[in-house]
Formats: sequence, C-alpha cells, structure tokens
Amino acid sequence: MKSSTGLKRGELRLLPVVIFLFLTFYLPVAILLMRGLRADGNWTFQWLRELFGSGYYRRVFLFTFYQALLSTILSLIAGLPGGWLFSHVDFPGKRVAKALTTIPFILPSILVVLGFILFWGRQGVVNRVLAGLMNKEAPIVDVLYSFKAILLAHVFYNFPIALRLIAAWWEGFPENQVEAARTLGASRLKIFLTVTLPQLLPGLLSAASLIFLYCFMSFAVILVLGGGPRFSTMEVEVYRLIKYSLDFGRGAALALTETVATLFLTFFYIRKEQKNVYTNSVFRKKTAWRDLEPSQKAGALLYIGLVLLVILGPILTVMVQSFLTRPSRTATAIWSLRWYREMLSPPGGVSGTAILAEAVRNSLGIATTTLILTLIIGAYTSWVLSRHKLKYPGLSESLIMMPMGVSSVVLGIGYLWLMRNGTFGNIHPVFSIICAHTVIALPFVLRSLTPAMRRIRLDLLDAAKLMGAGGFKRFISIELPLIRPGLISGGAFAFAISLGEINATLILSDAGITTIPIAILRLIGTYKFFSACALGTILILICLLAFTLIDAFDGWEN
Amino acid sequence: MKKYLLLLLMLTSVSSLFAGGQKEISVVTDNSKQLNIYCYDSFASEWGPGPTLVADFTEKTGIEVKLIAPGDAVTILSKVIMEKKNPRGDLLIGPDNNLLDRTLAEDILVPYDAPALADIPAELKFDETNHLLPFDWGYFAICYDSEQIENPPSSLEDLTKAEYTKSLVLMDPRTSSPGMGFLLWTRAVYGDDYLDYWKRLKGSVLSVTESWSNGYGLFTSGEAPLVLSYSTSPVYHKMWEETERYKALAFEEGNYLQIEGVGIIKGAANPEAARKFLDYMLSPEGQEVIATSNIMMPVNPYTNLPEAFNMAFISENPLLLDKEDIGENQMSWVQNWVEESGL
Repeated sequence: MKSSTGLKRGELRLLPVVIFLFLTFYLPVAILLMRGLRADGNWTFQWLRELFGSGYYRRVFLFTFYQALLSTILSLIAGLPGGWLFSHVDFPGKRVAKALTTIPFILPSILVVLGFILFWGRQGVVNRVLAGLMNKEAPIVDVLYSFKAILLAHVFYNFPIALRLIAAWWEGFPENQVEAARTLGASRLKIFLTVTLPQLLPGLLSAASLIFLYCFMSFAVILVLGGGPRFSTMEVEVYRLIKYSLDFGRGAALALTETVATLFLTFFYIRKEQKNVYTNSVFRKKTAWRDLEPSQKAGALLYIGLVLLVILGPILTVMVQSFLTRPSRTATAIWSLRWYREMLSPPGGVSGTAILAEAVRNSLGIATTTLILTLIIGAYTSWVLSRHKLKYPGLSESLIMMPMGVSSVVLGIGYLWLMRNGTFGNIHPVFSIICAHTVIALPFVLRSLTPAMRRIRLDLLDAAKLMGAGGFKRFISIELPLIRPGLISGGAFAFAISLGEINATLILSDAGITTIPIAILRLIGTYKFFSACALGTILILICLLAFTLIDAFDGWEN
Repeated sequence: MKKYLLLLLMLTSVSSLFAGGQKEISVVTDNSKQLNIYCYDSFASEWGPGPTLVADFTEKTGIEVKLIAPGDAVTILSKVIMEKKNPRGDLLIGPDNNLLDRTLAEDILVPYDAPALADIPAELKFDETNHLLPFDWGYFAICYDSEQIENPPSSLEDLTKAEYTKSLVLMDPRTSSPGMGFLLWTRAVYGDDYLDYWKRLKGSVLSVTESWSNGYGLFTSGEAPLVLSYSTSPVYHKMWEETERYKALAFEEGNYLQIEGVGIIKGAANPEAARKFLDYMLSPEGQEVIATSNIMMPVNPYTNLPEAFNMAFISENPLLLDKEDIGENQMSWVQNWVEESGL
C-alpha cells in the first residue's frame, strides 16, 4: 500500500533526540568505557586480554547469561495469565490490582530485601505460619541465600513488567482471527498455539528483551539474596572493581564487554520486532467477570491469589512491621506509631519533620519532572521512528534504546567524570539526577509507546489529511488518543523508576539532596530498621496514590 | 483535550513548586567562604554526628560548613583522588586504618600536628606522619543474640563448630569495611593459612552480604543468631532500645581494630577553618557527639560517655596488620578469597 501521507526523511527530525542522548548518555558513558582501552596514556587491549584470560571472569560471564535466561522464562510464564486477564476481562478491583503490580518496581532494593527476609526468611511469616500449621520446628521453606532466592526475587521484580507489556499488546489486536478459528472448530490449545501465540510473539519478545536485560544487569538482588560471592554477575563485578577496588582499567573493560553484549541483544531484538508490525487498531471489548466460565473464574482466582501472596506478602510485612513494637523484650508486639515518631524526631536534635518533608518534596519533584521529560521526548521519538523513513532504522532505534543496556552505577560514575571536567562542573546535582533518571526511564517509555504508535493505521491518518487536518492536528486528535494506553503505562513506569532509583542518585546527590530511598538507606545504616519500614510504607502509599491518579485520568473518557 | 491540559497544568505547578525549593539550596552552595567537608553518608545523615557537630561549630566560630557525602568512605576517597588537581573540599572524614596506605600513597592530604594529639593514646595514632588523624575507633566483633544462643563462641575457631551451622552472617570484603576487617582479622590470626580457616568456616555461614546494614538487618530480624559487626553495637541497643539482648564477643585470638581518620585536603581553599573543625572534632565536646551518634569509642580519654558504653568490651589483644603489608597484598588476598573460599 502506497501511503499518501508519505514517509519523510527522519534523520533531521531525530537530531534533537540524538543531541540530548549524546550529552546525557553517550558522552559520560564513553568517557568511562574508554578507560577500559587505555593504560598509561596509550590505547591498549591489555585489560580486555586479562579479563578473557581469567577463568574467574569467564565463569561470571556464563552465570550472568544463565541466571538472566532462567529468570526471564519464569517471569514470562508468571506474567502471561495476568496479561490475558487484564486485557480480556473486567473484574472488580482491576484498577487497584493494576496499581499493585507496579509496586515491586518502585521499591528501593534494600527495602525489598528487608521485605523478603521478613516474609520468606527462616524466621519469616511463611515459615512461622507453616510451622504452626504442621506443628514443626525450624525453617520449613528454605529459599533465601541461594540461587532460588535470586530467581524468586527476579520474578517478583519482573513478572509485573511481563504482565503489563503483554496486556498492552494483547489489547491492541482483534478477536476475529480467534473467532474464525473457533468457528472452524479448532481446539482451545490449538487456537492458542497457532493464532494467539504468533500474534503475541512480538509482545512476548518485547517483554522478554526488557526482562532479560534487566536481569542481565541485576544488582542488589544478586548481591544480597544470593547469599555469597559465588553467584556473581558482570554488573556486580563492574561495581566492585570501580567503586571499591578503584580499579578503573579492569572495571571499565568489563563494563565495555557487558555493554557490547547488551548492544548486540538490543539490536538483534529490534530487527526482529520491526518485521512484525501490526497495523490494526481495535480496542478489545472486555468480558465481564460474571460472564466467565466457572473454570476460568477458578483459574483467575487462583492466579490472583498467588500474585497477591508473592507481591503483597513481602510488602505488607514491611508495612505491618512499621506499626509494631515490643514494649519490653518478653512482651508480645503491640500496634504503635513509635517508629514514625522516631523518624520525625531523630535524636541528633535536627528537625526530622523538615528532613522528611524535604525528602518527599525532592522525590516527587524529581519524579514528576522525569515523567514530563520522558513522555515528551518519548512521544516525539516514537512519532519520528514510526512515521519517517530512516536510512538505518534498526541501528537508529538501537542507539536510542541503548541506555537500557547500561547500568545506573556506570551512568552515575560517568556523570561524575564528565562534571569533573570544567564545562559541566557547575551543574546543580538536581539537574544531573533528573537527566540520569530521564535517560534510565526513556527506554521503558519508548517500549510502551512505539508499538502503539506503529499499530495506528496509516489510512486513518491519510483520511484525516484529506479532510484537511495538518500534521500537528493529526498528532493531537488521532495519534495521541490512540497511544494513550502506552502513554499511561510508560508514564507510570517513568514515575516509578525515578521514585525508586538509588544508585545514580546516591552517586550524584553529594548529600545535598535527600530523596526517600536515600533516607531509607540512611535509616538502615543507623540501626533504624523499623523506621526504615515506616518510611518505606510512606513511599509505597505515595506510589499507590500517584498510580490511582494516573489511572483516574485514564478513566475519565469512559 | 481538556484533561491533557489539566494534567499538564497540574504537573507544571508541581514542578514549579519544586523548582522554587531548589533555589534556596543553590544560594547556600554559592558561598565560597564556607568550609567544605567530605564525609561518608552515615556521618552526614540526620541521625549521624555531622549535623550536630556542624551546628555547634558554626555557633562557636561563625564559620559556615557544608557536608558533602556522595557515598561510603571508599567513594569519598575516590572522589577526592579524582579532584586531586582541583580540590573542592577542605577536610576529608572517613578513611580508616585499612585505607590508610592508599590514602597516603595518593598524596591528597597535608599533615597537621593537632594540639589534641597529646591526649590521644599512642596505639590509636595510626599514622605517625599525622596526615590522617584518628577521631574514633572500635573493634570488629562477632555479636550474638542472647535469646537464641546460650553458649556463644569464644574464638574464631569456635565459630567453625557444627553447632553454629548456618548461624553466622558475614559481609563481602569487596563492598563493606567490616567485611574487609574480618578478612584482615583472619589474615592476622592465621597468616598464609587464612583460606583454610575460611573453608572450615563455610558451613557456619548463612549469608555473605553486600553491606553491613543488610547483614545487621538479617541479624536483628532473627534470621541468624551471629553477625559480624562492631564491639560497640550493643551500646546502640542499650542506649536507644534499652535492651541488653545483643552482645559483642571478645575473642581469644584477639579482635581486629578499626580506627577512623580525618585529614586536611592538600590545596584546600580554607585550611585554617579545616584545622579549627578538626580541633573541635577531637575536643571532649565534639568527641561526645561523635561517640554517641556514630556509636564508636572516642579517641580522647577525657570524653564524657553515657553508661551504655559499658556494653562495649576492651580487647586484651587488639590486632592490626602492618599498613604497607595491607597496601601491597590486600588485592590478592581478596581475589584469592573470592576464588577459593567457596562462599
């Protein structure tokens, strides 16, 4: 089909995005990675040769791939039923459930770890309940401090991503092929394998690529829940080499190797995805809960129950713990606001209320600015990518998506090095933190927006053009409403990522800026675990409120 | 369309509120006469000694102070090293005895013969060149939960016993200073055979955590009855929670020392103010603030301490490795540990 809207050349229109990413991403990261190829002022492969010659680092490399692959498969399996449920069925409490699935994303890893220990640990809720039921002593479920714990935590973090992306994708294509197959008498399994799965494949790949990269670069989970250095990944080694051993040559060389691997993965995936562009834009009519068959209802309830257990278990434990205290060492725990009070009035005499208010204000301000920036840049970029002819579309998109292949630790250190060099030296930390958050969140926003933008039928735009609508008008009145689900889920991710980000923030803040995760880290660092639970509870509530607000805007039209 | 405009309006008003708040901060950072102090983040935190020290100091001297704390002691050190040619800080708070050799080798500090040094016991003056001055100290120690264990171990060797299977939480020497302290501790006791000890110890270890806070969290939430921490940790629980449930163990082989240091940065814009602040830190008054909020022992013997500090033991056999030995071999000790301990 020849489109009269035409496909204009997009290189020039992509330029602003390229300049933005060059300054906020490529330059700082390149400065850092280059160190991996330099020694004593000369170019050298010395560090790389050393890495590949070492049995230890080869093991690390293999383990990184292995755990990421396994985690991805498990997360997809866990997210698939939810993707169907959210895209096909209207059920009571759906909005709340959708908001809940984003919680794992916003929790600072240190709080997740605390929640996991309190819930899954040897003395945790699960073990105590089971021990009570089975009348036994000692831990019954021994998951933590092992490879199992890494997988469990990765599924906790990532199956909500799978669920959301699969649901967004599934919503966008028509029921008629499935109906046709059903009319022809195909069995349910056959329909799933021959119609649904191929239709879903791009969405699945999209989710899988994100989750794989995320697990590939996983950091705190590996470090804390694995229980020891034998489960080490490239990301963790980069961090250790650069941050603790101050071994910039080896660290940068390893970061370089890791980045080359992720660039390859990103590029490979985008090439595959571009072959599978859907041009349909049908919004699925959803089945009401009461119209489901009993077996479907039972399955859905079981799934929802398991999700609630896995997601809410650790989180609720943190929240409940924040309201519990023991008046004396032998007494049973009672409800109390003690930890909140202690958080508000630290012993040092400095007003805790002011600090808490500042942390909340900073976190909200940074997250809101990040949300606005990523949505504007994201919508513009996905529009350029979907509506223009580029000489190297795969390469261009990969280059724009690259930030998802670089860790926040590397990004933060890169910023520090860049800012050390005069020109950028006087940038206020707030701006560098916002830039870092925007760069980190942008790929997630593009992931939600670009498929939605690509699915819009060009003849719809042609029709609007024939009726005299200009480019801007077409964007506002056709494209923007049609990509709205993508905007909302992308925006939610951007907001959440910014609220929970701690690695780059900590490196860049110089203690001048306290965000909520940083305050939690400090509470834990000064023995105040229960106050940390209390502040974590506040963070969770802020996020729930924000997501309900975002979803409420979504609901206005219907 | 209205709702998009409304949403946009709401977002911009939120962000402008926030931008208004930021202006106040940048006014403070523009002050060039202030004293800039690099310290680790828990020192500068609302609950650490930093804010109180600064408030008292400013009230006494009229000198404005800014605390800059981008991370832990190692991060601060690498930041000061990065800025060597164009230093932005005046005072560096944080490098301990294990970082001493690296700190001195980088030539980033100038010596200062503080008057208070006369009062400080000789064994705590860990840098005879006085580039890095001690400001607090403690021992690394194994702490135990007296509600879970009745017969606590009394030596490193005891820890390897079967009764402590999966009972001990340690920290990774690559990412945490207690972790490094424990590795050096085993090195100081067992010498070249330290890895054999680690292999014997393996069965007792429940988890090797990234940071002290993660590990101590495991301990206080009841996951493990034994944890690597400091001789002063019980002081905290006594002072703020009024419990003697958690106790620190003095080991027969001795306990490894940690001494935290402070030094004046070479090329500092404000060395005079830096010296004044350092003097204040070492005075009995400043030492009391540091000891009670850092929960470490003061270096100045004339410091008033709350009774809770009786919970911290004094080792009869403090251990310390030679700083050149550490500087030269630390990397290979750690790498061998990573590859051979099996943890």
